[in-house]
Amino acid sequence: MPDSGVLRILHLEDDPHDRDLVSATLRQEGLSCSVIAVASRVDFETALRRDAFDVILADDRLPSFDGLGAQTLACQMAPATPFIFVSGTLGEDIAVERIKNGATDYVLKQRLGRLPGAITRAIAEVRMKHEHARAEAEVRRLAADLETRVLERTAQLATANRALEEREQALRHSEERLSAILDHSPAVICMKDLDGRYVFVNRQFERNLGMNRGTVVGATDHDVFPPRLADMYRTNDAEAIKQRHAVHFEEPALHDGGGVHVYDSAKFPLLGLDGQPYAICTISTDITERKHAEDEIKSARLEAERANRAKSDFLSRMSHDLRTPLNAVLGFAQLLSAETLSDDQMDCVRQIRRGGEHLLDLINEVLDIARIEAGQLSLSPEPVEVREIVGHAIALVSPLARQRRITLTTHESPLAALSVVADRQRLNQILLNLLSNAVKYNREGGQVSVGFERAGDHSLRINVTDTGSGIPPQKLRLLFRPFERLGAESTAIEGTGLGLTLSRGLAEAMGGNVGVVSRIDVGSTFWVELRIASERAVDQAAPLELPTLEYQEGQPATVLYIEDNIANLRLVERVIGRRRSVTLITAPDGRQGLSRALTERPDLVLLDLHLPDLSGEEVLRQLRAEPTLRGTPVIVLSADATPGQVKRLLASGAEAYLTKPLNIQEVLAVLDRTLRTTARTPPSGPETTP
Amino acid sequence: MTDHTPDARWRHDLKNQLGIVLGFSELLLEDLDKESPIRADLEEILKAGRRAMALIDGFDDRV
Repeated sequence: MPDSGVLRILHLEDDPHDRDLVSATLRQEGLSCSVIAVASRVDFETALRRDAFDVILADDRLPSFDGLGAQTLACQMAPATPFIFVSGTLGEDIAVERIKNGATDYVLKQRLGRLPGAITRAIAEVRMKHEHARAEAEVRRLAADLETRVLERTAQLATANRALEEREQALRHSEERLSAILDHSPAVICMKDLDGRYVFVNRQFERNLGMNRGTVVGATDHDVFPPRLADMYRTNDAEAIKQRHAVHFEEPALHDGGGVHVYDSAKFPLLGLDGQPYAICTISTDITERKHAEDEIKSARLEAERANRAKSDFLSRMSHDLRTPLNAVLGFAQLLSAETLSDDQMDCVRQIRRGGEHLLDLINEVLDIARIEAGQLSLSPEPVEVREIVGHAIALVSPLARQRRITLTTHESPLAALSVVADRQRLNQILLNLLSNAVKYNREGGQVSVGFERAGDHSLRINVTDTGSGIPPQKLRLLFRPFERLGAESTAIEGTGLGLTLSRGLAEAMGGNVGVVSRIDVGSTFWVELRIASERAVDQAAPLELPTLEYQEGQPATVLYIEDNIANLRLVERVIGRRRSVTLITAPDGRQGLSRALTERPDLVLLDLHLPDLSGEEVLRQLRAEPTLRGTPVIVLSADATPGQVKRLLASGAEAYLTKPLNIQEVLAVLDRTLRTTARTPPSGPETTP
Repeated sequence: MTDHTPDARWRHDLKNQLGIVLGFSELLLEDLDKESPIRADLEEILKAGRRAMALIDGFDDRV
C-alpha cells in the first residue's frame, strides 16, 4: 500500500458521466490516483481478483448488480480494502445499514466534494488498522517469544537445580564419608581457622581429651587448654603456617583422667585457591608408649654404660693399687739379677722377674684400655721404620716360636723400607700382641709369616698370617671386645683377652686400625694399618750408655730421697748402695723433705711426686724458690708418664724425670751423670738446664 | 665354684703370676745362707708379693 504514492481505485460505475465526475473531483482535490472503472459484476470480480486496490468506489445500483452484492463480493475478495458507496439514490437508512454491514462510508453523488475526504479518511483508517494489527501481532510475537524464553530459562534452572542438588548430595556423601573416616581414625584430628578457633575435631579428640565437640568448635586453644599448652600449640600452628607445608612437632596433651601423653603432631596449613592459608589442620598420633619404650632403652643403655664404666674404673683402681707392690717386686728382682748367684739361683731370679713382668703386662693392659676409653692415652708418634720394628718384634717372639716349633718368616718387600707414623713403644706392643697370638693360636709345627701391603694412598698394612684353625665369622666381631677370649674354656693359652682390644685402641689412637681376615681350617691374618710417614726416620739418639751395677767408688755426695713408700725407700737404698761414696738421707713427706734439704744441703734430691702432705710439684717449686737450694738438681720419680706432666716438671726445674717401675740401670745412669755434673759445677753456679 | 667371668679370669691370671713370683722367692730364700746379703731383697719381694695377693683377694670379696 503506498504511503504517499498513487492511490489505486476500483470504481464500479456504469454511467460514464458519473465516472468522469468522480475522477475530476479527485483530481481537483489533488489526490493522485489511478482509477480502474468497471461496469459489470464480472469485470468487478475479475478486477478484484487480479489486483489489489487501496479503495473501492461503488455505485449502489447497477442494472445487473446492486450495491449490496458488490459490497459482499468485495468483502469476500478484498476484505481489507475500504468500500465506499457513491450513490445518488441511497437513502440515509439504507446507507447506515450498509455501513453496519461492512461498508466503510457512503458519499452522495450530489455531494461529491466529500469524496476525497472520505477516501483519505478511509485509507487512513485502513492504515491505522494495519498498524494496530501489526503492533498487536508484534506484541503477540514478543509475548510468545518471552514465554518461550521463560520456559527455556525455567527448564535450564530446573536442570541446574537438579545438577546442584546432585552435587550437594555428592558433597554431603563425601563429607559423610570423610567424617566417618575421621571419626574412626585412632589419630586425634582437628582443624582451626587462622584466628585459632576450632572448626572441626574428630571423635578421638573428644575421647582422648575428654571434651565435647560442641564445646570446642568455635573456641580457641586458650579457651580449652591450660595457658602453657595453648601457647605451645599456637606457636607450633604459626610455624606450620609460615612454612606452608606439613611440619612435625612433639606435643604433650592432658588426657581425660589427668594423664600426660605425648603426641607426634603433623601440622599443615590448608591453602585456598589463591594459594593463601585459610586454616590449620593437625593430625596427632599418641606416641607415649613409644617414648616410654625409647626412654627405657635409653636408660638401660645408660645403665649398661655406667656399669661398664664402673667396672672399668674398678679394674683401673685395682691395677693402680697393685702397681706399688709390683714396682717393689720388679725393682728388687733387678737388683738380685745383678748379684753373683749359682745357676739354679739365677734361674729362680729369672722366673721371679718374668713373673713380675707378666704381672706388669696384665695390669698395664687394663690401665691402657681404661686410658684409651677415657681419651687419656699419651703417645709420642714419630716416623718408625717398618723393617726395623718388625725385625725387633720377631726377635722378641722367636723364643716362644721355637718353644712351640712354629716357623717365623718375613716376606721381603720394598714396602718394608718405608716408615710409618707411630709411637714406637706402642707399635712394638701391637706387633708383639699379634705375633704372639699367631704363635699361640697355631697348629703344631705351623707357620707365622709377616707381609706388607699398601692400604689406600697413604697407609701401610703389616699382615701377620698364621696357620691356625681359623675363626668363625660370628666370633670375628667379638674379637676386639675386652675380655672376650675365644676358646677361653681352655686356660692353657695365656693372656687376658685384652690384647686385641688394646692393640686396636692403640692403633686407632695412632690414626690407624687393626683388623682380621680368617678362613676356617686355613688360618687367620691379623693386620695393623698405619699412615706412611712422609719423611725418612730420623737417626735415633745414641742409646743411653748402660752404667754398671757394680759397686763403685766415686766422689762423696749426699742424696736426699723424699718418699713415703717404704719399699721404694729400701729399693733406692739398695741401688744407692752400689755407689759407696754416696750417702742417702730420706724424708717421709714434703715438709720434712724441705726441712732436711735446708739443713743438710744435699748434692741431689730424689723427689717422689706422690707425697702425703704436699704435691711433688709444690715441693719442687719450694726447692727452686730457696736460694741456697737453687743449684741442687732434683730428680723426679713418678708412676705417671704423661708427656705433658714430664714436660711441665722439667720446665719447672726438674733435672730428670724417672718413671716407675724404676729401671735400676736408668736410675744409676742418671745419678752418675748428675753427680758428675754437680761435682764439676760450684754450688752457686747457674741452674742446670734440662 | 670357679667364676668364669672375664675379669675373674684376669684376677685368676694375676694370682697365677704372683704365685710364681712368691713360689720362686720362697724357694730361693730357703736355699740361701742365713747371712746372705740378698735375703733382705728377697724378703722385700715376698712382702710386696703377699701384699699384692691380699689386695687381689680383697677385690675378690668386694666384687
